[in-house]
Amino acid sequence: MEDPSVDSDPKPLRSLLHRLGALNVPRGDGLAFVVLFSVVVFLVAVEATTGVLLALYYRPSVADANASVRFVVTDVEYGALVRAVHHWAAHGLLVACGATLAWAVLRRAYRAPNAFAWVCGVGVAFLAMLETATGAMLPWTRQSVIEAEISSTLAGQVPVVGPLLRGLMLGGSEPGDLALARILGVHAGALPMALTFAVLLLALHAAGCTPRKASEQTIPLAPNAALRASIAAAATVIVLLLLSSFRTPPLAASAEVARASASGIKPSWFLAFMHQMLEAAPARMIGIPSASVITTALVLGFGAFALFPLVDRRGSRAMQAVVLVALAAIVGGTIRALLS
Amino acid sequence: MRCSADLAAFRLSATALLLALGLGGATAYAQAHPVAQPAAPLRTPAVETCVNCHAVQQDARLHDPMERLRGSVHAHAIGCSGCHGGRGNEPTAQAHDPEAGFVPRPDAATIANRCGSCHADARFIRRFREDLPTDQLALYYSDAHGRAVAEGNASAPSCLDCHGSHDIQSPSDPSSRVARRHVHETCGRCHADPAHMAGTRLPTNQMELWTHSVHGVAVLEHGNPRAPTCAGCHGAHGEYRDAGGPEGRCRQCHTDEAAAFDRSPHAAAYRRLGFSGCVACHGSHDIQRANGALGTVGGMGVCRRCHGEGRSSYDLARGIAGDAEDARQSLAAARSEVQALERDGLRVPALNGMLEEAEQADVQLRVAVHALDATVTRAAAAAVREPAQRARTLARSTRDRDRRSRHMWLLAVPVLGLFIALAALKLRAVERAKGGPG
Repeated sequence: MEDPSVDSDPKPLRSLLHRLGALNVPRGDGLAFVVLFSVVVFLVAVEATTGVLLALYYRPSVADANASVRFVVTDVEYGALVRAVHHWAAHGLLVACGATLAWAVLRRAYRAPNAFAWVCGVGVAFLAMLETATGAMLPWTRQSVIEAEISSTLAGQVPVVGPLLRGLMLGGSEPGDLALARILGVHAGALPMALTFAVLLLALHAAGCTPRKASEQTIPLAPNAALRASIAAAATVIVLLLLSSFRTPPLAASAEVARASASGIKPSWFLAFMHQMLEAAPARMIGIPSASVITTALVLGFGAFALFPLVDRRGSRAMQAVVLVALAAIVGGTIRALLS
Repeated sequence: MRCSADLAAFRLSATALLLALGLGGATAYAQAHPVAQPAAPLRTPAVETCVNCHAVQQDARLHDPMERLRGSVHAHAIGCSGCHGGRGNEPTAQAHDPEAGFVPRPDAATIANRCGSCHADARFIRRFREDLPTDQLALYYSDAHGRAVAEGNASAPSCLDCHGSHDIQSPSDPSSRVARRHVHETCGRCHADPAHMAGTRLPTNQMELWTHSVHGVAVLEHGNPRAPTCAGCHGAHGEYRDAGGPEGRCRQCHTDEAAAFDRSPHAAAYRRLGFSGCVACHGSHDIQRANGALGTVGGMGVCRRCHGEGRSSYDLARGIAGDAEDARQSLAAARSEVQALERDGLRVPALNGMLEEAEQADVQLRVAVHALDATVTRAAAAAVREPAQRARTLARSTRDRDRRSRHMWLLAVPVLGLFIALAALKLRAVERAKGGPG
């Protein structure tokens, strides 16, 4: 006797697509979210695909890493295109995540029932930032070594788990083969898994969400919202191709750890605001090394930024103003660092 | 007979006179250069009891030195009494017995002699390291620092002023005060301090000048193990006192340049005028790369000092400086284009070969200009320009090929634009069919 609770559809994929197509998306804020989120998902997919292609040639050792990336660019058919698209998609992902979060703050879209989606969104942005930072270290240039040293030093300042984090990152007292293997493991293993998980959570949450108001107008996910997402994805590809054609991602010479000096090295743009804070701070604050104070403040600040909708469930205007000011400070610090 | 007696008396007198002169000269030399007589070595007893009292002292000055000694190069060789004297195995205040040689704060001469008691004792020091020299004490007393100490100058440095005291490290240890990256700071602590150097005729800007010189940049920024620090030219303990002055030290490394200079008309002219060969053009502590101040085409750099317009040999100097500068600009342009390609990830092995060829030729050109022969310089400059020009041509064609292949990707843009247009039309049709986006 057949259990009636078990889906007896002989074509489950068609059934799933049919059900997804039957979903409705709220107009206005909901529709904007679908477009932005589709760009994020598309860029994550581009990163995964190009990343796998690049990993086919990458050799994670201090002696070979730079040469293997250079080999991809010069000797592999379409290698330069794949690397350029991977590079610009990573930075595009950060911009798309930042735009989505800024839009959510401006529209107070983090309010219930979207608080969980906000937490997932901040998680995606954080993971994308880590992905880009670790990816920039893989060619093992002088900048890579300095960034590995600075980020491990900052990680070492995190309260309680700092020394453990630093040890895990470097696998020794200074950046070397073991650190490079770990950076690759994190960049191509742990972070993509976490990123996929966070994006899936966000998608499942969005699919299960209902409009905030019963009167809110909706449109079907397919084809109306899906067509908009496709147009956004195609526009994203055009931007990626234009950037890859006219702006070659830089590839400096391999670093020799003993000769690595921080002079003339600029931090990546998405870390520039942290660099500005560290530069502006005195050597010690309230009797504690300022790197330790700033790292602790950043960890607490980031935690507060990710979790505040769970506390401020009604979405007060005052809290929105505070978050907007914090975002404006980060954007301002980044622009100032880029111009200096 | 008489004649031979006179001759014998003359020989005797002459011998006595020569002996007297010789003895007098040797005495005078010994007074001018007091030869160190190392004291009997102070040896640390097998069981030293200093720690029993000093470890529990509240005064940091009394217990910190022990901690610092533990991390020093001497930690496993000597204890406190090895340098301070006294009775190291006496667990009472009797340990501080002046009659047993105890000195709490030894003066510079005592320090030098106590360090020398081990470091000038080859048999003793070889027990620890085979390669340690044992002539530092003798050299130290033969040079300015040691002579000043021997003359009682209280501000003259002893061993500890450069090497540190309790926390002394091997010079090969990067944290040592006399490690290659720190020697200039160690010398500069006195030589860059106007108050300390008051009363001497020495300038106090040498450390600053050296830091920005070609040698300073090579040591501090590029970690070049052969570029000279202060000790590289001046010696650490007095090794180079008789090395022929500043020019003599330059010649130790720059042998080819020195040989070319000796063939040049400058060699005789400088001797006649009393110029120091290298320093007259390159300076001493502030030496820069020669394609900067030394040889610009327009201004002729330092050559203008003697060979300015209207002066003798102006045309020759201008021709040599112009050829050299032209070649270097050609090399710099090629290097810049190759580096730009490499920054963009484009690797062309042949380019590196051409650049290397041009750089090797540039080394020869730098040597050749010292001979001041226009024909030789012109040939050497051409040897630089030719591979540099080949490298530039190949770099440009590589760049053009890369640009063309990149622009091929843009063919996808119209296809994507068409897709966007069709999707937009479809969306419009769908929304119209359902009576608006809702």
